[in-house]
Amino acid sequence: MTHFLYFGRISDVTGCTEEDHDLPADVTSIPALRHWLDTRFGATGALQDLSVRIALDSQIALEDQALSAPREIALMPPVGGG
Amino acid sequence: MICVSETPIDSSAALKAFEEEIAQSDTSGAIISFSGRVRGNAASGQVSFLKLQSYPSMTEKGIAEACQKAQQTWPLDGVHIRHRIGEMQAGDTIVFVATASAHRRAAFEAADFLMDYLKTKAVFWKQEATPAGATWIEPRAEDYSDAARWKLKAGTHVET
Repeated sequence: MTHFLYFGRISDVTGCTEEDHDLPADVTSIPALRHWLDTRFGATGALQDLSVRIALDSQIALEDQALSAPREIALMPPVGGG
Repeated sequence: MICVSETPIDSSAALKAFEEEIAQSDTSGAIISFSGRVRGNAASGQVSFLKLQSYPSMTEKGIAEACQKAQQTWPLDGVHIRHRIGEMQAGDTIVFVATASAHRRAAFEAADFLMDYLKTKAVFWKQEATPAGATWIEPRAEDYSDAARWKLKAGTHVET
């Protein structure tokens, strides 16, 4: 089970700010993760927009980075500042 | 000291605590403090509330790195940052930054640099609610141009 966090405007797309969900076995890359989430939430590309960064266990992931069973995945739209 | 919390910020108490901490050193000739407050007016009307989200592990790490950069750039005797998260009303203090140094210029510049970091790069998401609805806010162009000043100035401060 992976813990997902959806920040800022992404939570409007997903309808929740966090959830626990199994990561499908065939989701082994960041683009595959974006595609899977985008389809799951019917986000019509919003989660595939590269301005939405992905963090794996609190570290920003590169798009070509492998997904090696992270405990936590966060979707981070551009920050809004304090 | 860095504190990101839903607890309301009392700027006077925070400044007093910082001054007491700094009093142990007799080299600090300058203490600067900045308090940022939630404005009651927005382009789309009166603000009913402001909500700030953080990603605690990344938010505090980023602020700590900005503090470290400030301490490497200016000769600081102390830095204190408090940032509020959660739901706030107009007039509430959202951020408090204090710096201490031997001379005022370093303390002013370091506080200014830290505020620019907090306004553009800190890991926060901000939602503003007005009668027209709730909208997610991103930094203004001016916030980015303010933050860009430090690319030129870091490490070149002038003692005054």
